[in-house]
Amino acid sequence: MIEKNWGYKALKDTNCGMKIKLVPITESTVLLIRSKVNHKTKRVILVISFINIVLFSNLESFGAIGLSMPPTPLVRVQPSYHKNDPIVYKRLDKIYFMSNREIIPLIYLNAKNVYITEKVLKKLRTGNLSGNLVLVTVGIVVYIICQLSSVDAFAIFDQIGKRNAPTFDSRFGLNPTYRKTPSRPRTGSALEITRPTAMPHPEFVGLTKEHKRQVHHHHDRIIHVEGHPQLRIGFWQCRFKVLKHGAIHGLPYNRKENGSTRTEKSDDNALVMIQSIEDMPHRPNAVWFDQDDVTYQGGTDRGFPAVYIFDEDTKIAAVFNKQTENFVTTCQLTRDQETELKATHNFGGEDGWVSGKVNNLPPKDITPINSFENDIMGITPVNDSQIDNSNNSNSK
Amino acid sequence: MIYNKQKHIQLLKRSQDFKNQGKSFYKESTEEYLELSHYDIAVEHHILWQQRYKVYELMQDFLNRKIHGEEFSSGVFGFRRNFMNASEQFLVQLGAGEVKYFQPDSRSKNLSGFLSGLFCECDHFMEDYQNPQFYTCIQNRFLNFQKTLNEE
Repeated sequence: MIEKNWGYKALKDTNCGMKIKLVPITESTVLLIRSKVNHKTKRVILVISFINIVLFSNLESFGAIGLSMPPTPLVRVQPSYHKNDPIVYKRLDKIYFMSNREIIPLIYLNAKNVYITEKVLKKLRTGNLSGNLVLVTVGIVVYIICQLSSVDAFAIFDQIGKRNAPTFDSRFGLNPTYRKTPSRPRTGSALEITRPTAMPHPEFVGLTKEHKRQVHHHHDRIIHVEGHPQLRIGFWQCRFKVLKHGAIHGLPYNRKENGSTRTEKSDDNALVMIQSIEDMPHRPNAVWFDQDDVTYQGGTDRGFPAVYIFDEDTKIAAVFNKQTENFVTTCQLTRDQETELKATHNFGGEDGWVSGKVNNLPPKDITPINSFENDIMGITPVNDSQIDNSNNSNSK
Repeated sequence: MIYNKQKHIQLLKRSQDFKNQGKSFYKESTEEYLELSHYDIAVEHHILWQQRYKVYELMQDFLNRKIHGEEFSSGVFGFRRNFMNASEQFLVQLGAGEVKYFQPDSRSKNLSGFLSGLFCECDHFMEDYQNPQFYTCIQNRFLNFQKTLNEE
């Protein structure tokens, strides 16, 4: 049906409803538009028309683009070029002029953040600003359409943005990071001991730090050598001890100015140390100390029946609690300690250096007494009255 | 025990022979091993005696709150590592006949067990140096150490 609309002949679409009118564009119409409006106005008209069509039509919301499409068979396009055809590398030119359409995607809508590249900023600063603003408006309109259509535009842009937006290296500086590297071994001094699934939560929470380090882990190892007690090398305890004892088990370390060594406390290093301890019984000159009288720190309130695996060649000892069978610590023995262990089946025990309970003296009360030792050698003698030897119970 | 330098050198060479054969001196010749150990320990005590003021200052700094527990513990571990290296190096030189004269200080045996206990203390309280019990233990050791030095 033909009727007049805004002074022009128009066709009314009865199928679509009464709101949309199709206007036949003839050469005269185009000429009329060309003569009456300029280039900028054309764009504005087009945008407004587009918005009107979208907002006032009966467009139905549609599902997320690309998310619910049924899987389609992958069709590989066979190359149609010949072997001898010259290959043209499109990105060889370093200076690459971008059209406005190409610039728009560089405005990343990455979740709640918006990144505007330098190129866009430069374009906006230098000329044709209104033209760009129109395109930006179109972008915003598209976003509004998506919102009205229940399409999560951020979900789409998030993926685009993650690929194109600048990434941050988490290892340096304080930059935020989007990278997740679950396969990377954990580092740091803080132990995040996870509760074994078999252990009730209240029981786990009630454990001391020392006991938590002995909870089971799938990386625990068992030493089972015939004729000797079965021993368990706990992963958490090893991870705890690797920091200061990793060096003697061949792990890389940093040497501090004071001479101490420090190995990175990581899962990987803990596993290497576990392996090293597990191998100790198989070393050529390994010696077991697992007799009934063997103790660690015997004579103190921390003492317990122990089992030692001692390597004669390296002088490295691994200490286990005989009752719990758990790995406790490891160290390289001095000759003094080695002899003590062999002679008494104990080391690190009561040695007379902690016997006696000191009267609760604050450090400032340790006052130097004028003497030859103090003045010449820097030693601060102490009065016997400051040490109460009546109580020989060891505070260790 | 009277220190005998010639005997010490002789036992060091015996020990090295067993080591070269991949055998344990302790297992193969326990008596000689124990004798050698006494001489070696005499060397260790002597070196510790020479370095006693370093330990003293370290402990004093901790007790006077100039350094915290972690730093103190690190210092003890480092001191022990340097001490072991120095002892090892000295024994190598002694065995090679590079040391012309050596007689351990008779007072040095008074420090027997001191460093071992201090090390075990720091190892036990690892990452728990804020524990007041740790401070008390070090304080007790320090006062006994002072007393020993005062009895020189």
